[in-house]
Amino acid sequence: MALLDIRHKYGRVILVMLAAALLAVCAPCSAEPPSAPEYDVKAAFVYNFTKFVDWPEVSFRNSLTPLTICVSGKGAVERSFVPIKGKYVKGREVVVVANEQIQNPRVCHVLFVTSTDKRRAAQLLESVRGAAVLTIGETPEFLDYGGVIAFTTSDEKIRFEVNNQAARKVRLNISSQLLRLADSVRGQE
Amino acid sequence: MNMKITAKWLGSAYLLCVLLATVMPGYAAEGEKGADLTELDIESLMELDAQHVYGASKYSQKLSEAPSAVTIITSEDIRLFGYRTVADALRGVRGFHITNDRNYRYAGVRGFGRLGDYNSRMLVLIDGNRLNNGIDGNAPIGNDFPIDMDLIDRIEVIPGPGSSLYGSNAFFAVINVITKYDFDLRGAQVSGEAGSGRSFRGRVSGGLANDEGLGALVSATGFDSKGRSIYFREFDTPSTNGGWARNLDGERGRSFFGKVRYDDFTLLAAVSRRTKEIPTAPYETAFNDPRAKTRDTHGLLDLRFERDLGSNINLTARLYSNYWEFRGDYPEEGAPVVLNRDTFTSAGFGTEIKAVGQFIKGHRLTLGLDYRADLKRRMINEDVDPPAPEARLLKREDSRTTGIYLQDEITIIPSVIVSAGLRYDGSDCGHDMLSPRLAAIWSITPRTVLKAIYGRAFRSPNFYERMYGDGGATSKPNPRLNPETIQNYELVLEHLFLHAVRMQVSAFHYRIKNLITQQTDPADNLILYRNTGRVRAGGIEAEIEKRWASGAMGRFSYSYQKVESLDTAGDFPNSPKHLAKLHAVYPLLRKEVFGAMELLYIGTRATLSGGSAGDYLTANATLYGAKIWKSLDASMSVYNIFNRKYSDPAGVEHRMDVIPQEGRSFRIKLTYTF
Repeated sequence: MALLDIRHKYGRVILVMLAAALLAVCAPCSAEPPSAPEYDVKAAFVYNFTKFVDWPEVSFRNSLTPLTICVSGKGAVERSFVPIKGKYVKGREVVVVANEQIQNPRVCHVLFVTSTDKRRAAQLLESVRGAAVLTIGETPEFLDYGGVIAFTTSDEKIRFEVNNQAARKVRLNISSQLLRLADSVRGQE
Repeated sequence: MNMKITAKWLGSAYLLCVLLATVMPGYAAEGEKGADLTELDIESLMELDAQHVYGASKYSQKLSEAPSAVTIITSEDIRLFGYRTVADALRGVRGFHITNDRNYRYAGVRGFGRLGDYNSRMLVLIDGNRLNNGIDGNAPIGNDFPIDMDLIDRIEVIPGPGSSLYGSNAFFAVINVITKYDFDLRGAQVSGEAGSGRSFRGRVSGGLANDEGLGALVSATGFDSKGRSIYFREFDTPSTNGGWARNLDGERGRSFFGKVRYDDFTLLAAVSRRTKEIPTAPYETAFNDPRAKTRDTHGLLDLRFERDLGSNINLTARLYSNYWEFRGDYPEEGAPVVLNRDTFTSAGFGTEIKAVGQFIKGHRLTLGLDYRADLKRRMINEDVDPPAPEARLLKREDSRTTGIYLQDEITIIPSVIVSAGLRYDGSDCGHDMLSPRLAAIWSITPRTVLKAIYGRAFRSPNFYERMYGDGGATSKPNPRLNPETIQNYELVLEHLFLHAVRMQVSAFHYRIKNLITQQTDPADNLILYRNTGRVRAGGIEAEIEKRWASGAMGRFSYSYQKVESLDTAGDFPNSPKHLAKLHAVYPLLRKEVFGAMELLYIGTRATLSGGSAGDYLTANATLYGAKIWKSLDASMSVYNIFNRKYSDPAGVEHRMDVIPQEGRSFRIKLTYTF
C-alpha cells in the first residue's frame, strides 16, 4: 500500500505506530503461567477477608450463630463459593446464601455484590446502609457509593481497595494486616 | 515541531512503556488447577493469574458476548482526552470519521459518511431514548447535543445494523449515551471552561439523596463561543468581502438536566437550545450576512421503571415524550436580500416495554414492544425580513410506528452461543419492515472469541426527504420514497494476550439497496431525494490495546474500507479508505495527574465535484489533574497541536468544494466539588 511507503509523508509515522503495536503483542509471548478461574480466586479472597475483620458484638446472637456470606448478582458465582461452605472462621461456621435466597440483606455479615450495573450496586448498598455488613464489590465506584472493599484487576492479578471510613461508620474493624495488602485505603487511621 | 522528530518521540515513548512492562517482575506463583484455593493466604492469592472466564463481565477487559464489536467510551476517557462533544469522542473510535460543515457534525461509519445525511443512518440514544428527530432524522453530536459531557457516564458504540432491536435509523451503528446518577456526584459541583475563539462554558450541578432511596441529580450549563473569521476561496471577490466570513462562526447555548430516582423508578428531564451562526452561505444565501444562523431546541422527558423479577428476569417499562424545534434563518441572495426562515417542529411520545430473561434453560430471551407517535410534525417557511403577509405551512403529518422484537441467545454448548433476533416495524404512513439478525459466538479458548454476524437494517424515508419543498425556490418534495435497506456480513476475532493486551480484528462486507440520495433534477434545477441505487462496501479493522496497573494505556487501531456505488462511477464521496488512530494515557504524578494524547490519521476523501479533501494527521493532547488543590480538578488541552490545515468535503447545498477546519486551539477547564 502506498500508505506504508517510507517516502510517503506519513509513512514513517504509520510504520512506527505499527511497530510499537507489534512489539506490544510479541513481547509477552512466553508460556502461560498456571492460573485459576476468576471467581474461584475471589471467593477465596472473600473467605480470607473474614479472617481479618471483626464485627460488632450485636452482629452475632450467640457463639453458635454462623457467619453469613451473601452473594448477589451473577448466578454462576455461587458455584465458586461451594468450597467455602462449611468452613470455620474464628470458631463460626460459614454459610453462603445467594440471590433469591437472601431474605434480608441487613442480616448478612458479608455482602459480595457481583453486579457491575451501577444502579443495582448502589441500590444494594442503600439497602444495607447503617448495618454492619462487609460490602464487597467489583467496580471502582463501589467505594464511592459507600462500599467497604472493591476488587480490581491489574495485569490479570486480583487486587483490592479498602474504604476504611465506610467500615468504621458501621463499626467494622479491619485488621491493619489486611489494610497493608490493599492497593489503596481510604480513611486510613 | 518537525514531523519526523515527533514521530520518533512518540514511537520511542510507546516502545519504552511496552519494554518496561515486560521487564517488570512479578510472574504467577504456583497455582495448579484444582488446588484448594482456600488453603492459600492472601499474599499467595494475589500472585495468581485470574482467568477471564467466558461469561464474566467486567468494566475493563471484556470478551464480549454481544453480537457485535462494542466500544465503550467512559466518563474517565472523556475527562482524560478532553473530549468536548460526542463527535470528539466518536472521532477516536475505530472505523469512524467526523465531518464538520461548520454548522453540524456528522459521523461516518465504515467509510460511509455521505454529505447531506444528517446522521440519520446512525441511531443515537440517550438512556435508550431516540434522539434522531422526527423530521430529518438528524441526531446531534456536536455542541447541539442536549447533555453536557460531564453528565455522561459512558457512551456505548455498537457498530453494525441494529434494526433487529431498535427499528429504523439503526443502519450503520447504534450510539447509546448513558447519563450519570446522583450517586456519581454527591454535593454541589461547579465547572468553568475557557478556550480559543473566545469560548466560555459554565456548569453548576448538584446531587443529593436521602436514606429512603430517593435521589436526584440536577445540572445547568451555558456556553458562548465567538468563533473565528474564516476565509473561503470560492467567495474571493470584491462583492463578497474578499472571501472572508467575519466573526460568523459563533455558537452559544444552554441546557438543563434533571434525573430523579426512587426505588425502581427514574425520571429523566432534559432541555437544551443551541444557536449557531453559519459562515458557509449554503442554499444560495448571501455571503457574510450576520443574520444567517440555525437554532436547535431539544426536550426530553422519560419515566422508566426497571426491576429484576427474580430468577434472572429483568423488566423495563418506559413512557417518554420528546420535542424538537429547528429554526434556520437564511438571508436569500438578491436585491434586496430577503431573510427567509424555516421552522421545523416535531413532538412525540411513546412507550417501550422490554423483558429479558432465562425463561427456558439455555435460552436468554429478549422480548420487546415499542410504540412511538410522532405528532405535530410541521415544516413552516416564511419571509421574516421584509415580512411576508403569511407563513407557508409546507407540510404537516403525524406518524405512528409500532415495533415488536424478539431475540434469543441460545447456549448450544458452553462455549458456543447463537443469537437470533427479529423485529417487525409497522408504520401508518410508511412500509412494514422485517429486520433479522443472526450471530454465532464461539469461545475457542477462554481468551479467544470468534463471532460471525449477519444483520439487515433499514431506514425509513423521513419527513424532510419526502415532503420538503420551498415552492420551487431551491427544493421540491418526493412523497413516493421507499425505505433503504442494508445487509451486513461480519467476522470478528477477539483475543486477550498475556499481560492485559487485548486485540480485536474484524472484516465486514455490506450492501445497500434503495439508497436515498439528495440530487439535483436537471429539468428544473431543484434539489430532491430519490432512491438512487445500490452500494457495495467492504473492509477490515484491527485494534490492539494494553492497560497497565498504573493507569497507563496504549491503543492503536487501523481500518481499511472501500465503498463503491454500483450505479455511478467515480470515488464514493466523503469515504476515507484508511483510518488510523493512536491513543495513549500516561500517569505523571502518583496517579493524580495524567497526560493523554490522541493521534488521528484520516485518509483522503472525495468531494462532490470529483476533487478531494486531502488526508491529514491531527493530534490532541490533554493534561488532567484530579484534586490538585482540595477538591479542584483541572485540565488543559491542546487540539490540533501541529496546526494542520485540513478540510472536510462540503455538501450539495454549499458553493465551496471543501470546508476548512479549525487550526490549533486550546481549552482550560476547572471543576470544583463542594
